[in-house]
Amino acid sequence: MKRIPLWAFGACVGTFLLLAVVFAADLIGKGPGLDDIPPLKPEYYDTAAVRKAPSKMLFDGAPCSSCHEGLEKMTGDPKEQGVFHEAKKLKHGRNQHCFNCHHRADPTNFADFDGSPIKLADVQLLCAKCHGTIYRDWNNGSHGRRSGHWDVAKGGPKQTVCIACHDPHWPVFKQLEAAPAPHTNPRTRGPGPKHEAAGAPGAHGGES
Amino acid sequence: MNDEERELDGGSGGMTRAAFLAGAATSAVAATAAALAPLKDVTDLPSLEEFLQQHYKELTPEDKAAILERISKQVEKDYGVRPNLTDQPPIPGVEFGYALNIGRCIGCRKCVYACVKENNQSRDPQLQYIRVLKMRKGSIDVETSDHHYEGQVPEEGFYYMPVQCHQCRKAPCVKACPVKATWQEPDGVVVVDYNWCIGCRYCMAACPYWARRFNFAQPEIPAGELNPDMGYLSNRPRPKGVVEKCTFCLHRTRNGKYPACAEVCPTGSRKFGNLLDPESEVSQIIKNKRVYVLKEEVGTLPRFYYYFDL
Repeated sequence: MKRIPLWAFGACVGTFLLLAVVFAADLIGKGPGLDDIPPLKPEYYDTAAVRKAPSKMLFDGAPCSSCHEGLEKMTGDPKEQGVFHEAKKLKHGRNQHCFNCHHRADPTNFADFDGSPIKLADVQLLCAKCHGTIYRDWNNGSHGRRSGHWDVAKGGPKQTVCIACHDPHWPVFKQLEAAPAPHTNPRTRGPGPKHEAAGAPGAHGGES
Repeated sequence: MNDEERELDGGSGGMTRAAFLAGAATSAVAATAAALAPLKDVTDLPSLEEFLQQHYKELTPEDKAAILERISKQVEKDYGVRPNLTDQPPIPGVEFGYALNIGRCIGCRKCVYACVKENNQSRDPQLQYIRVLKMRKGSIDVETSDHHYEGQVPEEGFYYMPVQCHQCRKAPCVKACPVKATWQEPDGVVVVDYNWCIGCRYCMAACPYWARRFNFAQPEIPAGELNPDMGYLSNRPRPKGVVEKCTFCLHRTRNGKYPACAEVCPTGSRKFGNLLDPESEVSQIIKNKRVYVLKEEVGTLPRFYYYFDL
């Protein structure tokens, strides 16, 4: 009868035992290590508007009436006339005149076309003087933030007023810091920097 | 070759075939056991009840109550919070629609993270339903877009287009699912039965918007960050190995609220409402604005509309 040589037996058993050691000690490892994913910070999901709409007309915390008695019409450009207001930065399109919006005789209110006052609470009517189409869109919901309920039966939406997002003196929406970019699994993105994923623009000649 | 070597090589000093096989088999078993050793760490095997659970649509109200209770207990055990887990039915006469103003979106990604928080998505590995594409102005070519931008936004010369589930009327994902684990609800939202999904990911391959995500690993959510307000078909914790997706925050929207992404958007670019109500925001937008849908040519008929002012 043909007998199997001992060295063949040794090689066979040795290979299996070596494999056992490799598996048990996890010598192959788990591929590229994982990155640290930035934790979810509350500011990423903060529902507050970008600014706080004032509920009262104040200047440096003081009501208008502490300086303006409101008895006679103010004239000229307040910025040239002295203290306090000259520091206000006005970058509102072609609007260079304070009294395009503020009321000459009644500084706590704003002025409509005919000189009648517009209250701070109705500030959208002031903005609507120039931005009619936006005001229309704001009213039917396609412009501006809405929160609360879409369902009118459950309470309906809460509209956000113009000046809760736009600084009236400098209304363009300011830049924000973007929340972190999505994390790409290191096993699928291949070698290279953290965000150089296979589908990233660099790979396709797009912008980055 | 001397006598001794000759003997080892095939002489009477060798071993029989039976002895060789016995030795080889024993060591092979040792190697296999070592290779399978990681299986002893598997702790997320389904319970018998979970394993035998029927498809969502075949559950009786009593079944559902028992399942909600079982899941609530499990969540309480895992996260230390008693969830408010409900299975809110669709509202009759409501079809949800979404509109997004790409002229106003600044790409700040707050929607992405509000969604992650609201819907209890895995933090690590990271899973997000919304992907914001930075697009060159004048281009609608998504292939040259960038979704890894960082820093101050919006950048000059670019616009931003967030993409998430479009809740298609002709949803390719629903057609692709071999086990009917995903379907369209009467209010238009495409949902997944996480207990019925087999994890084949055909739906992900079928989706032209890359809106579905797969839990390759056990989802990880820090206990303190869990949102206890849960819906059975939306944001309850998912097991490993199932597909999940945006559900328009069903647990919120079926209670009349806005989805988390719409609620958080600092620019008010995200609009949500009932398409069947002619006075709703989305209906007004579709009526009055320049609206387009992404990849119209694939015929999915999305309920997600992009619009811009002009």
